[in-house]
Amino acid sequence: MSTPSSSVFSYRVLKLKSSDGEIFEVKQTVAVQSGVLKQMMEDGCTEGEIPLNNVDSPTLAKIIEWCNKHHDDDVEGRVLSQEKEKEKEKADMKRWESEFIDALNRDELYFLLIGSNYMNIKELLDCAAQKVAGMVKGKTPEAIREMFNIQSDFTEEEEKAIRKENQWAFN
Amino acid sequence: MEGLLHTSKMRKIDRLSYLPDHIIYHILSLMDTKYAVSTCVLSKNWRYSWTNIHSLNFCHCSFLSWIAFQGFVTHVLHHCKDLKLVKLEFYCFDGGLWESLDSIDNAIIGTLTSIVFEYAISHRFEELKTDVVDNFPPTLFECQTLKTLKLVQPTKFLTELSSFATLTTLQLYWVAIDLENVTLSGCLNLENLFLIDCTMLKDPVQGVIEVYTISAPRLVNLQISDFLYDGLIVINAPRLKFFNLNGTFPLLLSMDKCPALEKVNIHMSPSTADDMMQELETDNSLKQEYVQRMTLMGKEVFHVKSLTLSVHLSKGKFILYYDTVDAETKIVEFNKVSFFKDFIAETGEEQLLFALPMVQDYLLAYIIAGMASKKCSILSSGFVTHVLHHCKDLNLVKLELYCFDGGLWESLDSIDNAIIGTLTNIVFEYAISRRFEELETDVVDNFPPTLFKCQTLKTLKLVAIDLENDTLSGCLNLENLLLVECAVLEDMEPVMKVFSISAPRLVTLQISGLIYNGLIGINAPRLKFFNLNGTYPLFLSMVKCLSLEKVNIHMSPADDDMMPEFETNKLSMQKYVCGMILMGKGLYHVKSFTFVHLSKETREEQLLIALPMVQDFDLNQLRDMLTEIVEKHPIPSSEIGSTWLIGLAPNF
Repeated sequence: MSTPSSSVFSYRVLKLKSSDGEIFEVKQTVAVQSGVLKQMMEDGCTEGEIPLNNVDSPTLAKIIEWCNKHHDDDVEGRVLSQEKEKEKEKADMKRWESEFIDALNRDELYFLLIGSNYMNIKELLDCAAQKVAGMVKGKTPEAIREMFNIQSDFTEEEEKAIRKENQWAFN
Repeated sequence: MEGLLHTSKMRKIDRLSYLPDHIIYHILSLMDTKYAVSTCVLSKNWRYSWTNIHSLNFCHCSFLSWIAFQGFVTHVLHHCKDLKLVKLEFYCFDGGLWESLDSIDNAIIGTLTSIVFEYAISHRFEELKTDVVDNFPPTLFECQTLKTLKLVQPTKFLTELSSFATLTTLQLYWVAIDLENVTLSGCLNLENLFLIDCTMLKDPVQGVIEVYTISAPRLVNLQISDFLYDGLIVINAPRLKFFNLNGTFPLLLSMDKCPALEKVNIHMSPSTADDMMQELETDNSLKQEYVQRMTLMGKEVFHVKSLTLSVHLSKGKFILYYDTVDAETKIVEFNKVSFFKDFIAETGEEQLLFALPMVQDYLLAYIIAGMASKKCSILSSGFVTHVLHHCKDLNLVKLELYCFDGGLWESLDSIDNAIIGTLTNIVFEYAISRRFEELETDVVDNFPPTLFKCQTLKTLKLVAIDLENDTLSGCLNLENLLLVECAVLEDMEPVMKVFSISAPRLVTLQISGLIYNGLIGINAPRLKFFNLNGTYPLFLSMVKCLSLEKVNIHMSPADDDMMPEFETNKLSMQKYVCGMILMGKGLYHVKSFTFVHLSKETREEQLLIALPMVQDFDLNQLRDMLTEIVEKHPIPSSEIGSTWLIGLAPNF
């Protein structure tokens, strides 16, 4: 949409192949949210199946769901009288986003972080990262370890030493 | 790592630690830096992760003491890797704490602020969010990387913002703006400005409208939310495209200097402010001011391509939507609001009672006026017809239609005129079909013939219109007639012309500033109240007004610079006095008569000659009256007294 080359293909469909071999069809106007796919479109190398080796099919399905929700078909052509609806949409979108993210379990969240990072979808990555940051906030290290199954590989003495060294952070 | 992802579906796996480093750093940058640092004890992987964060978020509220806060901040700055900083958040005052600070605390804050800011500047930060404003190091103003500044409830009033030449985004949240000192004129690159919950610091001087100017040459986005200010806000932003305004009470705006405006959203919700709704419903003058201000706001932004104007009331919602691109106009429904319904068994009519006058009486009229007066008449006619089309099928109370802005007609071409012709026709037909009762207009030549036969039209106000002799000769149902600053078109023949107002049901007649040399014959058997203002007496024939009860005549020749002429030219003085007498003569059958003559000398005292003109009004009284008038003038009464009496004698 933003570049002439991509607008030519705006109604074409990309075939995305997940790491486990499933094919997903995505409109170019939707796929453009991915920095990687956008670059490929601009370079004109989107013929055939595009392998996404780092993204499995459940995650890719989630990512595409996100992108479909966030893409704006034809911003220009949209009837402006829907201003009020648009305002409402904005709030709805926020709610949808948080519901979307909150519904994920830790594994899904993790794969979504990896996938959105791999496909370079900034908004989705930010949203997922913010979710993790929110989960960490206000928790003790023990609680964080518990939540994310992080195994401490410090000895008791080492941990004590680190805590002492960083005493200023634990006030 | 990849294999790990896909082989394991077990929940007990630490996935977080194996995220790519930059995602971890990103996550840690998004939280309060205190929590980011505390991840160092999680495991060896996490030991130094936090030192790579790209944003610093310091908040005093996460610490128990200022000493602890200071210790934390200095340690973080010392341990952080020497990377580019994206954002700094620095909050010291937890929204109000500053009052309880002692001098030691203040000293700590001072030192801390300058350390943090110096660090941020040297690490080329782009965004700053803070509540500290009084310790800005001078280098901050010169910082070339800083693009976004968000001030939240700062400790001090803002005095100096104009030095941030590189800023593109400025957000002031809960800020007391010092009217005299805060200008944005130096923010030459500002593109986005958000004023949220701000107040003006200066007390308004009684009777003087203050002016606050927002001047920003590159501003594109402007949002003003809940801005409390009684003065005028002048927005001088030649590139401004998007303007959002939210609040409870409309602001006085001047937006002439925003030619690039594309989209304006104005949302007023009086229902969110305590008591506002109640006051609006009980206090009529407040309501009127509200509506007037709304209207004025609407007028200021009518050159935009897309406009949404909405008022949310507890009883419902009024939305005006307008867009030139689609030539679309909407006046949306009044929503029923459920919580209100619990208290009153609410009918649709009740809702409309409050909101409807806004649409019908004021907004519609002014909008039509405002739009029609724009040079782009085609556009306006589109607008007007759409308004008419979308208005609910209810009885219209009042129509105001102004097309000429007092003089514009000279510049109209034939197309404009044709449009105005069609437009007035449509509007009048609409109004008649909606059984309107009151008409106020400066259009007269397109009155449809049905207008004067309209059974419902009771009040007619004509402003600045050139009347023809027969314009008002057939007002069958009119009860009130107001002629303001009108003139009667005259033929050049030396014969005295007669302009007749014939209205069998007329009760009130007001004529202000009418200029006419001929005779005005008023045939109104039911006329009770007659007011006349002007500079020069008129020739009236009111013998057919048998029910006249009260007449007020105010003549103020001083308004028209006639006084010097009177002083030098005795004849014109005499003519004037004669005219006055003749006016009085036609009216002496009324019950109450007030004759106010304002002359230059006596203006202060407002010389009042009030003669209860009773039936036994006679020549002597008249002479006394006139002698008194004449005495107030510099011409010796003895000299002219006899002259005019002789001149008048045959008439009596």
